[in-house]
Amino acid sequence: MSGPVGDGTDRRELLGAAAAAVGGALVTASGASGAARRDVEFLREAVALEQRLALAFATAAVPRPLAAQSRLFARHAREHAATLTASLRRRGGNPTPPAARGPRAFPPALLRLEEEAVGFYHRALGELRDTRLILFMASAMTGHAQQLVVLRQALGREPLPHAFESGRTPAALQLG
Amino acid sequence: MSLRSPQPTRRELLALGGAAAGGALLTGCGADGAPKRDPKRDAGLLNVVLAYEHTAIAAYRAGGRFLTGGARGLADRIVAQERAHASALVRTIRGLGGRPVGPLLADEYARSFPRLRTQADALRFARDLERRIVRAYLEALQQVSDPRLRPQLAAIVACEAEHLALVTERNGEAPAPDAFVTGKER
Repeated sequence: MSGPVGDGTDRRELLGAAAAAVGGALVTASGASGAARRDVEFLREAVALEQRLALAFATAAVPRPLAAQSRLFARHAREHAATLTASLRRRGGNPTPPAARGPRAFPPALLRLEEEAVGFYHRALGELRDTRLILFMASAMTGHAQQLVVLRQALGREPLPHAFESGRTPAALQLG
Repeated sequence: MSLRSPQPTRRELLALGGAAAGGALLTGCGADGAPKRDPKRDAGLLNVVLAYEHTAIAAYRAGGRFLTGGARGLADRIVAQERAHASALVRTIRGLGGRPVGPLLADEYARSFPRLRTQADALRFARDLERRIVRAYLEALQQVSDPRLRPQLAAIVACEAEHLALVTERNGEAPAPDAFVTGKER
């Protein structure tokens, strides 16, 4: 019983189009939920990274001139971890419990960790979907970039070695 | 069909056909749920940060004559990096089919800059400008429709945050005082 409806469009065609649109919406919804899941994965990884940084800076073996900065950077990492954890929980995720202890880090290891943090956020920013997370992770990354400068100077290295600062791929993500 | 266009007619819906297209139309998104890409708008956003790069180069040039020693060396290093950022942005904007903005004339910049008389003036101006640049890049990062543009913007804003740390330190302040660096005044 197909006949013209309203503007001359065939009813069968309309039904087909409606089905196609619904199908498309399902594909989109599924893509969207996949992207949201990816955001949650990045949040979980970010929390773990920040917890590792907080512990490393809090227990670091650093020369006296760097001690105050090290405590400050431990606090920054805890702030990042707390805010990231809240974002993660709002999205139904749970963070991995932080390690209670780890090896005492010396300044070169702290520098490497900061490079990994910048590298992690740089990678995440290319893939995140939620624009609030983009702003949040980008401003955490810029915080880490400033800490990189402090550590490079403390180690007698060039503080601005790259016009494009993309850090270093975190060891745990290298196979990803 | 633009996302900003009025409601499509049934005939247009039919013409689009295909499940993905139908879904995208209903939600205003691509198949992965991301906003539809808009190269023209993205080129406009990149032009905003490119204009900031041109301004920074002019500002360091204007302030450079008051800088000596390490501060001068730092300014030269920063200018070289701002030039690299500008060149990269020009290439990206062209790749998007846009037309990159060029720098203003030196006189035009001079009229908009504060009066600089000392090294301290020049460094304060540099710090304030670097803050604005960080903020502009963070906004662009959030707003670009094509996620493939974000790694370039992220690598530049990280570098700009480093510039901010170093000029802030030259102003006698802590270089990395905040956990989250948003470019807002403290």
